[in-house]
Amino acid sequence: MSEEKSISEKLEAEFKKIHLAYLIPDLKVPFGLYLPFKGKIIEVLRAGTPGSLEFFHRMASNGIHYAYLNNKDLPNWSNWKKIRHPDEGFFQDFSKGPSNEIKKNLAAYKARSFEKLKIIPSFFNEPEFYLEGVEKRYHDFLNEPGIVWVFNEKWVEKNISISIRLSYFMIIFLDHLRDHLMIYDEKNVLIFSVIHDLMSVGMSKDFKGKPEESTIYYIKKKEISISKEINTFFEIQKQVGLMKKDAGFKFDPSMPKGFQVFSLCKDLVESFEKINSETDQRMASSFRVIKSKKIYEEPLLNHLEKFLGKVKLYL
Amino acid sequence: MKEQTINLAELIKEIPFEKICKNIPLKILDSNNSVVWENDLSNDDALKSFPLATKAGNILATLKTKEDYKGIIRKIIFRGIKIYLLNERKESDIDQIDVLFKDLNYISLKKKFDGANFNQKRNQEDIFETLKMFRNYFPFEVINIYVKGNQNSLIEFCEISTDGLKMHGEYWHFPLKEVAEFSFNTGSIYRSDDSKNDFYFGKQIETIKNKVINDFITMPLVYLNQKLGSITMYNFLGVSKNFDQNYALKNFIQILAYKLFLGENGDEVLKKKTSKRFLERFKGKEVPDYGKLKKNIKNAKHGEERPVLVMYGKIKSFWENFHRVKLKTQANLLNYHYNIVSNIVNSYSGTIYQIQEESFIALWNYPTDVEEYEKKAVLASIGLIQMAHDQTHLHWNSFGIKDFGFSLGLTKELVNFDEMKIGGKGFKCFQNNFIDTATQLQGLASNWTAYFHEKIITDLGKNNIVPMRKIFNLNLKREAQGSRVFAFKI
Repeated sequence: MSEEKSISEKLEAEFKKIHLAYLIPDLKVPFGLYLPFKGKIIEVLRAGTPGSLEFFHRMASNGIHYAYLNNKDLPNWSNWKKIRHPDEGFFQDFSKGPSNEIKKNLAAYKARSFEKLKIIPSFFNEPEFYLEGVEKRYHDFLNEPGIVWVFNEKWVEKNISISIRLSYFMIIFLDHLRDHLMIYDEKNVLIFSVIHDLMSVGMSKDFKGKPEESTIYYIKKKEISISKEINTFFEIQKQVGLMKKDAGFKFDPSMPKGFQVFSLCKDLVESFEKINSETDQRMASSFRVIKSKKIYEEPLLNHLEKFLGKVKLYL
Repeated sequence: MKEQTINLAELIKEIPFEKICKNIPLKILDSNNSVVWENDLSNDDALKSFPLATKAGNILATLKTKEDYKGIIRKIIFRGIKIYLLNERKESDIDQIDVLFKDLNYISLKKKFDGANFNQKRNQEDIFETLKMFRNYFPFEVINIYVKGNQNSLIEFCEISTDGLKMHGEYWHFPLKEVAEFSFNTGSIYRSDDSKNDFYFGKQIETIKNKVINDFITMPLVYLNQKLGSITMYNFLGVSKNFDQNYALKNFIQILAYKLFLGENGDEVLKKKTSKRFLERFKGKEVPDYGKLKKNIKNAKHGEERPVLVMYGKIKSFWENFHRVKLKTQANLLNYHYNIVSNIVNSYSGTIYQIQEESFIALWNYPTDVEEYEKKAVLASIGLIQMAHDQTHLHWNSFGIKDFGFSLGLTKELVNFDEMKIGGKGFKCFQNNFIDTATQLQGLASNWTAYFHEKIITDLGKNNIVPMRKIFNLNLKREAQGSRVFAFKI
């Protein structure tokens, strides 16, 4: 018996078996390929050389579908595979739809939203039935294909917490408004309330622009496709952000009503967070703060005041 | 041949020898005489060894057992081999490879790289051809592609179905942008086998009235981490829906992504990213100090004899092709080439001595002494050949010069350096024709090849740097007559 390692042992210890179909003819392979042959392990393809079409033909016609690569080349192999077959990982969850991570993030988002706002049952007809309906609609809305990318990322807590409060608050407030006002683009307003100010954990160090531009920065960087309407909302947000600095700025009826509702709700939720007192007082004083700004239309403020009497906000 | 490439230990594991050989002495040795399997009974010295050979007479293993049992054990092992091969074939799904190989000649990377072009129209045609071929192998009823547009949006690119090819603006069967956006935004694959009841897209699917969508797969088109669009395939009409191990499908998708990438911004991106990255791969460690180099050349001693390594490089079929492009482009292309050449030569402590049209001369060990200059020059030659083959070639191709070729000749000469004074000015001169051998070698070398004179390689060792081929009987003349030559070829 030879004292040296047998080929079989060597193959098991020092080599990894890979399928040849991973490799594409004429594309350089950055690692050597080996085969056990006549008692030796021979190199059939040198690192850095492309396997010719003939080489793959020959292998296939000889029934050889697998080759070995040296364990030293494993980092090269995994890098190459990542670039050459970026879809490799995804194929594993092929029929299961979005990954568990997305589902988990979405569930956490929803659960946190429900904690931030409660309705006062006495003001609603059949409150349980109503809540059931709202939750279903909220769930359906968060599962819109156009918004799923939000749950595919880790966001900075400060930004995502505003989004969590705002989106749930708005879905109920829009319900309340529906009998009195016509908001044409409810769905887009709701989507915008989720994504209007997001900052991913990864980009928090790179981003140096204005806070309201963080989502746009992310979208450009990660090349996310969004609808024209949402793009328009981002533009309005930028303009309104500038105009709000001017004394005497007021939302006029020519501006999209949906955006005004969004802005009103956002201001309320933000000022609610800043004020320190008990819940009821806090809601009243945050409303007073917004009213004193005198930038929103009077009827809309009246609707909000009425609505705040029917719900309770929580930190 | 296949039998000889089997890992015997892997195969033996599948055969229950513990049970079979409970009372039979057996030791299996591989062709290297190492034990693959044995039991305690096999320690008997009286046992004989029998070869286990294939029909072609190649020895796979040696069996040490009693003569009565050798036949049955041989049969068991061959049966094991048969089962093993069948299983491996099943596992590897040979049909997929057949799919790829039938048409790879046409769509393969050979076309992708050798015939790469950055013309958007021609790229589009390539994509359509590839899509048609793709549909022959993977019979989806409808396939559509959305590509990245301006302002974070996806725009329609093309749809292919039994009705033929539809472009942006034409009537599409399944204009479901939301589906494409899903994979584009999340960078993941989504598959639905029951589209009408799909959680995300059930409603959108219902909006399509003229055709029924039963199933679909949507995938992002990504190349070099750059998102390019999304491909969605509707209604698979074939039998097997086992796509997760299907390399042919993946490779088709990759080729489509690559073509989109080329059409989109291949020219710019390749120039900016790849050439720099490529150049770094083939450059040496030396950071050239051009000021110092200039000084060295100025202060070089003359009237001395020193060994110098000479490299002569030339672009092949230069004049046949070059007149096809404009003068400005000619200048740009040559600049691009010589920028790479000088970068690599300098990074290996060499000096460009002369550039003339399509050829250049580089020297090592001149004007000052360089340590291990033979090795450095060989490494630089390998880098130059690789770079010309991988990068410069592609770049020239993109400007319509299809048969760019490059080769090198290297030799070592003892050169007499001298200085002539004409009109008070000093002119450096060399007393012997030191580039004669190098030019001869280069002339005989085929494309993407460097020929090294034996003087360089004998000192270094033939395969110490990279495996090289020894070439005899080259038609060399004058001083070089009868010399042995070593070749490095891609």
